[in-house]
Formats: sequence, structure tokens, C-alpha cells
Amino acid sequence: MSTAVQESEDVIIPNGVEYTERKIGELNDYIIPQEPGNSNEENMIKNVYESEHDLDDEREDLKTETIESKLKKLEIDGDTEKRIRLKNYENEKDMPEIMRLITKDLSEPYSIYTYRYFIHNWPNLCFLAFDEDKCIGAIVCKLDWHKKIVHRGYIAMLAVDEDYRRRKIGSRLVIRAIQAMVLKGADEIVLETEVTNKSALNLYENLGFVRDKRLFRYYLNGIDALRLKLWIR
Amino acid sequence: MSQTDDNGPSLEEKKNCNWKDITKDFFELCQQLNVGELVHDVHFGLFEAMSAIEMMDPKMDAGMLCNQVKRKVYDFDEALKANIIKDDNLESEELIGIIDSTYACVVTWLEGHSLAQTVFTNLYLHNPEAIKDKTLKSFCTAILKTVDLIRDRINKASVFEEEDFQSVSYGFKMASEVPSAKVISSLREVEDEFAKKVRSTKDKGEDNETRAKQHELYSAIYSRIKFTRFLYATLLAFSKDKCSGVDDIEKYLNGILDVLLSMQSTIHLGIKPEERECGLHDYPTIMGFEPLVNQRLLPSTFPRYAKITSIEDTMKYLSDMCTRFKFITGVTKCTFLHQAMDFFEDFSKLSPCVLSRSLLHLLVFPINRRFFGNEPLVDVVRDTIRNFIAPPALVPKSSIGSNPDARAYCDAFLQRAANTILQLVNISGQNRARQREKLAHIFEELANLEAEADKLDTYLHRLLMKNSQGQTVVCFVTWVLYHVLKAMFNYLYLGFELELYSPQEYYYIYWYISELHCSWWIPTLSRADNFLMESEAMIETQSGKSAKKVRRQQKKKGKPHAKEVHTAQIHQMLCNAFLKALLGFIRAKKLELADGSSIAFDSEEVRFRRRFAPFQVLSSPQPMAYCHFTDTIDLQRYKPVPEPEHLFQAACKGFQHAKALIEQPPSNQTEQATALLRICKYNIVAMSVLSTGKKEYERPLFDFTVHKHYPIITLKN
Ligand SMILES: CC(C)(COP(=O)(O)OP(=O)(O)OC[C@H]1O[C@@H](n2cnc3c(N)ncnc32)[C@H](O)[C@@H]1OP(=O)(O)O)[C@@H](O)C(=O)NCCC(=O)NCCS
Repeated sequence: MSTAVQESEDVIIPNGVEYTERKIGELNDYIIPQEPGNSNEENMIKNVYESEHDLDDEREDLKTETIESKLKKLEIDGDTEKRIRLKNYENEKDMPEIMRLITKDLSEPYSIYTYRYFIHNWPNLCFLAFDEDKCIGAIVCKLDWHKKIVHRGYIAMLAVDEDYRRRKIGSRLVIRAIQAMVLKGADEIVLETEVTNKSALNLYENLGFVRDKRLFRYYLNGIDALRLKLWIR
Repeated sequence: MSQTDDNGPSLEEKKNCNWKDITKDFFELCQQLNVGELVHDVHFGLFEAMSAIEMMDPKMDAGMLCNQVKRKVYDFDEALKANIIKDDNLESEELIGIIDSTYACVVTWLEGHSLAQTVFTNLYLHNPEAIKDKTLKSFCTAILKTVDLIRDRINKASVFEEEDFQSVSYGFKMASEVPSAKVISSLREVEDEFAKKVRSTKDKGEDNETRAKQHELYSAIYSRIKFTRFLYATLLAFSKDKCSGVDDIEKYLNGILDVLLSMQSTIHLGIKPEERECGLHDYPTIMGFEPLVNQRLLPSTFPRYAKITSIEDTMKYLSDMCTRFKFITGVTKCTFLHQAMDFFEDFSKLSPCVLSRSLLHLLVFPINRRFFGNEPLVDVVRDTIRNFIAPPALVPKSSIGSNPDARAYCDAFLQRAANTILQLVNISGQNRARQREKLAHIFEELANLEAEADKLDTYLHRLLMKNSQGQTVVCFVTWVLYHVLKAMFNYLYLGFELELYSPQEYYYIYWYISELHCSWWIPTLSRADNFLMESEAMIETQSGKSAKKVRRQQKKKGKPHAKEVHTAQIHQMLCNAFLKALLGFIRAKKLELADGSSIAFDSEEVRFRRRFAPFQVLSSPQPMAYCHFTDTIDLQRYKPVPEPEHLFQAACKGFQHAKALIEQPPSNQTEQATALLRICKYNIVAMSVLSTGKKEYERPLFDFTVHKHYPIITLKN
């Protein structure tokens, strides 16, 4: 994530108390319905699976091991699929779980105010994935004006619990966040990730993100970053 | 709040205040807040909170770092008093260790870290005046002077960004009172002393172990001091006016690489840190080094974590750097601007360090902005254009060349063009990632220059018509186009190098490059060729030679831009071959296109438009539209529709043609040509295997290790 984030306007009520509860209430209207099989997102997820099926059918020659293991993976997915639910961020009580997930994969943990900056300003762009009542994934985004002309969505953080990876949970979270940002009028969606983070790169590129820029020695550890971008229009 | 603050209470007043503990009240009041509520000042929102430093948090509060270490952090004077460091009679092992660690810090600094957290963790550098040991004192003074000179060079060349180099000096004293000649002479003295010692300990038949050891140590110090002198002298020679130091530079550098070899082989002789404190594994901690001494001096940008380069890597870095220095002196052999610009580009492809980039830049364009310090850039640009395309307006004794209005107009244009050239040169001095970013913005400038050139050409054409000669003269436009196209190629090829394209995108990138080559680049060069030859013929016939003879002469000599055209043909051929191969993979469904099946917002058309968006501002080449691309690659136009095998076969032929072209004169046996030949050879094999249609594989892999812009195609089974 970026170290230089653009200033945004906090909602401040006269006595200087920021009251974010009300904001959340308003934003609930934008949350996409979650009935299984009915929503856009479920369809898209299905699409991803179906296209995989098509491919497998074509690769007659390869079937033995790969297809079997893939089918097995799908089974597990099918099983957990029903249990794993995405939900919108509700309130500060979600914060420790989000921090726990994200912090695990960071070399230099953010302060709680970094989370608060994003999540309190854009609570409707933060989603969590649950396996029953266990939080196993989170995505944190913002949506802002870039250079006063582009409405730019920004994925600041994404993480999935290690035991739940490779089951499209990360993809689901990203798709859900993209939908929310698009509904709010995003023109493009960007994020930064280390050039070495192959899983994140694959995930985003599968979803149509392109590598827009390389940022030389971007991270504090001296590693280059790639800026990925998805153009909405 | 500071004591001197006029409005605030003074320290005295504060002392007299009646302080009251409100901790309990505060926490009680907090209980009344709802979930998600935060009390804050109107001017201190969440953004400020995020950017603020949390006091007492060891990860953010630099002051906390010192509290983590349970010992006193000494500065130079304190360390001396406490007998932690010596200032006289240092052991040879100590000198070697200190010198090597100092260079490790210098190299780390050169790689973009803060001076305070690298070089100045060496306490001796804080006050070399006070050092009694002569060797150490000369060395430390020389290092300060070297660092100062490096800083000056890099700042003046200004081809860096914050990620390349930290130019803040934190007000450290850089021995400015010591003249450079003095630095060199005192290093020389020390060097001579050690040379004597080396000689006196030379093996004289009797085998004496301590003596041999002494000999080894003395030689090690001797080479280190010699290296220090050579390095400083080289940098001084680089700073001389009008490249007059180049001969000296070559002399020093010839010696320096040998010296470095002997340094490399004696690293083990230096002292090593005894035990390492936790958290400081990445810093030298031998005598004289205190990683924490400047912990409160933070860089202006967000601090990057500095891990000091290992001594082995340091030596390698220094040796590579000196090799680069040697390479860049080659630029003085370039007589023309275009040659020099090509030199910049070739050098940049090696991703060189910021120091060598800066030195090269200053050799060619020193502070006075004159070409090699001599010729005003405007004159150089005039000569360059004359050499490139010989516009009638710039040919001596031509009818319009002597028209004062036309001359004034031309001069104004040349002035303008010189500015653009400087910008282009500056871009080629930046790091590779920044180059692409900056190129994206240069097209606007180039588009304006194109417009100016067009106006000038039109104006000159009208003058000419009045003077009865009839040809359309688009000389200036053609010259600008040359630079526009170069910038476009750079921009597109950099995308490969920076790993920005996914394999799904390769086919339209190669298509675009190939189109640029055949519809714009080659015609531009041919047009320039024609103008040049015509102008030459005119001059020669004017001087009495027969037109026929002149033509025969020209034919023998060949066209002036023939070599560039030849290279262009190779690249175009290659791009075309790749395009066919990629179409084959797509048709065989081995290279999936992101066709929007996975997510509704992704579209190839949008990506195509965005990838080439920076070119939109140009009037020529006219931007190529997506439908133009889809039309040309539409296989349905062919009957029967080609199968993948046919496409692979065509690609195979393409690579064969390219290979044949590379092997033909005027290709040189350059590294570039050898790399391209290898690409062709491998890909010919892969394509011919695929064209049988019998090969089973999962998907193609693209390997860019041989050439940064063209891959070797392999098949994943
Ligand atoms: C990146 C991350 C969020 C992915 O979550 P996930 O739920 O495992 O991702 P998905 O299952 O949706 O994966 C989607 C695609 O991404 C790619 N991918 C994911 N993990 C991968 C891995 N370890 N290696 C290679 N590709 C991987 C695959 O192409 C995958 O599709 P496939 O399984 O059909 O081959 C997760 O690995 C993570 O939390 N990493 C640490 C934090 C991080 O790097 N965040 C991103 C910073 S911007």
C-alpha cells in the first residue's frame, strides 16, 4: 500500500466529533444483495469455474493427475463455498480481526490509524470473509479523486487466512470491492504490490488488471512495486 | 511548544501551574462514546492521524530506538575518551576492517540511502582532523572529499529521483578546507610508506611466518590507499572542463581494477565485529562504527531501511562501477549529437548506477549546457539536422539560407528544438522505471515541436516556390519525427523490460511496433536519405561534376542511413514473426485472452487504448485504432481460415528471414546482433516443431533472459 495517501474530507459534525455510524447506515443501501446464485458476483464466480471446466475438457491429454486434483479442489470449494460468506464492515468491533489478518503478511505493520483512515472514511468499501464466525479474509479500499479528473478506486489491503488460500476467496473479495467501487462511480481501480508477490499478481491479472507502472525501490525494503490498474471505462 | 513561543506559557509559567491528573476523568468520559466515535480536533482528522508519528511507538518514534539498546551511544569525542576507539597506532587489521566497512557504507549510500545512516555511522569521519594515525586520517579526509564530490556531481547532473539518491548532507563537515591536491599528496605519502614496508617485508629466502603475514597486511593497506587515491583522482578528472581529463581517467582506471582484485583477496584480513546486538545485524559494528549515532537524523522522505552492503558485494560493486566509468569515457568519441544520444541509450540499457549516469551526463552536457562543454547546443542541433537530412535552408550558400527572415525563423526553431533535445537526454539519464513515466509526458512537448516544424517547413516551402524550385520540403518535420519515433519505440520496449505486459498483450504490442517500423520509421529514414543524396548531388554538380558520375559515386557509397534502415527491417521482421506465433497460440487456445469472461469490466479494446494513450497527442504518426488492429489480424479474411500450424509455419519463416537479415552486412557483430540471432535460432526450432501440429503442450512460456525485448519461446508440457 502507498505511503502517500491523498487527503480526503472527513465527515465532521460541529462539535468536532466524527460520527461514522450514520455514514454506515446510509451506505447499507449500496450493499449488494447476497442471496446465493442470484447475485452478480455469484454468477461471475461461476463463470470463472465454468471457463476452467471448458479448458479441462479440451485438454484430454493432460487429464490424469491435474484434472483429478482440480476436481478435488472444486469439491472442497463446493463444500466450503456455502459456509464462506462475505459481509460488509460493520463497526470498530471488526477492526481487530482485520488488523490480525493484514498484519500477518506485512513486514512493517501499520498503526491502527492507517486502518481507521481507510475504513472509517470508506466503510462501504471494506469487506470481510467469514467461515461461520471465523474471519478468514479482508479487503480495504478507498475511492477518491485523482488529479481532480479521475475517480480512482484504490485497493489498500487484501489478505486471506493461510489455511483458506487458493479457494477463490481472495478473488471474491476483490470482485465484491470492485463492484462496490463501480457502483460509486469509479473510473479506474489501482493498487500496488511487490514485483515478487506472484500470488497477488496472478489474482489481479486474472481479473483483468494490467501492470501500468513499475515503481523503482518503492518499498522500504528496497523492492520494486508494480502499480496495477483496471480501467472501468 | 517551545520556550520562545510568544503566545504560549513560558517554562517558568508552566512550572507555576497547578497540574491536575485527569487520566481517570478522561477514561470515564471515553466510556460515553459510542462504538466508532472518535473525538478529535477540527484540523486533525483521520488522514493526519494516519500520517502522524505515534510517540513512544518503537516502529515510528526514532527516539525509541535508542531506548531499545541498553547501552550508551557514543559520539566521536566520547568514544575516544571512553577508550572505545583508538586514534593512533591502529593495527593493520583494524585499518583494513575500517576501510572496507567505510566503502560498504559509501556503496549503500550510492544505492539511495541516507548519508547519515550509512557513511556517517563511521565516527572517524565526524572529525578526521583529530585523528593522529596518519593512514586513517588521510583515508578519512579523502573519503569525505570523495563523498562531497560525488554529491556535487550527482546534484549537478540532476538525472535522479528520490529513490535513486538522497542528496541531503545534514550539515556534516566535508573537509572543505582541505584542497584536493593536498588530499592526493597525503594519500601518496601514505602509499609510499606502505610500499616501502611491503618491500622490506618481502620474502628473502628464510621462511618467516610473521614476516609473511606482515607483508600481506601491508600490501592490503597499500592497495586500499591506492584505490582511494585512484577513485578520488578519477572523479576529479571527470570534473575537468571540456572532457580534458579523459586521458587521465583511462590511466587511473587501468590501474584501479588490478588494485581492486588484490583488495578482494584480502577482505578476510580485516577485523570482524565481535558480537552483534539484536536488530543491528545489517550494520558494521567494528571499532569506529556506531550504527545509532545519527538515529535522530531522519531523511526528508520516508526512511528506507538501510542494510549495509556486504564487503564482498561492495568490492564487486566498486569494480563494476569502475568498469562503467571506463565505458562512459567512450562517449567522447561521438562527434555528432545523434551518436551521443544513442550512446546514452545504450548505456542506460545496462541499468547503471546513479553516479555513472551522472558522470556521463556531465561529460556530454556540463553545467554550461554546451555539447562536450564546447559548442552551443543550438549549433550542434543545426549541424545534426544538416547531417541528418540536409534541409535547403541549412545548406550553406543556398538561396533561402541567405534570406535573413528565413534564418531568423530557423534559429528560433533550433532554439526550441535544443530544449526538447535536452529533455530527451535528461530522460535517458534517469532510472529505467522513471524513463517510461517521463517519456509518457514528453509526447506533448514533441507534438508541439512537430507543429513548430510543420509551420517552419510550410513557410520555407512558400519561400522556395517564390524562388521557383518546386519540391515539397518537409525536412524539419522529418527530423522531429525521427525523435518522436525513437521515443515511441523506447516507451513501448521499456514495457517489456519493466515486465509490464502480460503474454495476452504481447500480440498487439508487437503489432504496433511493427506498424511503426514499416509505415513510419523506415519511410522517415528513406526520406532523409533522399534529401541528403539530392543535396549532395546538387553541391557536387554545382562544382562541375557530371550528374551521372555523382550518381555512380553515391551508389558505391551507399545510402547514409542504410544501417539504421537495415536494423529497422530486422526489428520489423521479428515483430511480425512474434505476432504470427502469438496468433497461432491464441488460435490453438493455448494463450487465453482476458476476454471479459471472468469479470465484466475488462476489455481488450480499453486496454489497447490505454496502452497507447500517450501517443494520442501526436499529429504524426496518427494514433492507430483498435479496429485497425482487429482488422489486420482477422483470420476470417483468409480462405481457408489458417490453422495454428499455418501460423506457426509463417512465424518460422519470419524468424528465418530475420536471421538471414541479421547475418547480412551491414550488421555488425555486436552483442545485440548476437542476442537476436540466438532468439531467432531457438524460435525457428520451436516454430517448426509446432508447425507439425503434433506437439502436445500445455502453454507457451516466454523467456526474456537473452534479450530484454524479444523472448525465446518454449513450451510447457
Ligand atoms: C494474495 C491472496 C490474497 C490471494 O488469496 P486467495 O484467496 O488464495 O486467492 P484466490 O484463491 O482467489 O486466487 C486466485 C488466483 O490467484 C492466483 N494465486 C493465488 N495464490 C497463488 C499462489 N500461491 N501462487 C500462484 N498463484 C496464486 C491463482 O492464479 C489463483 O487462481 P487459481 O487458483 O485458479 O490458479 C493471499 O495469497 C494472501 O493473503 N496473501 C498475502 C497478502 C497479500 O499479498 N496481499 C496482497 C497485497 S495487495
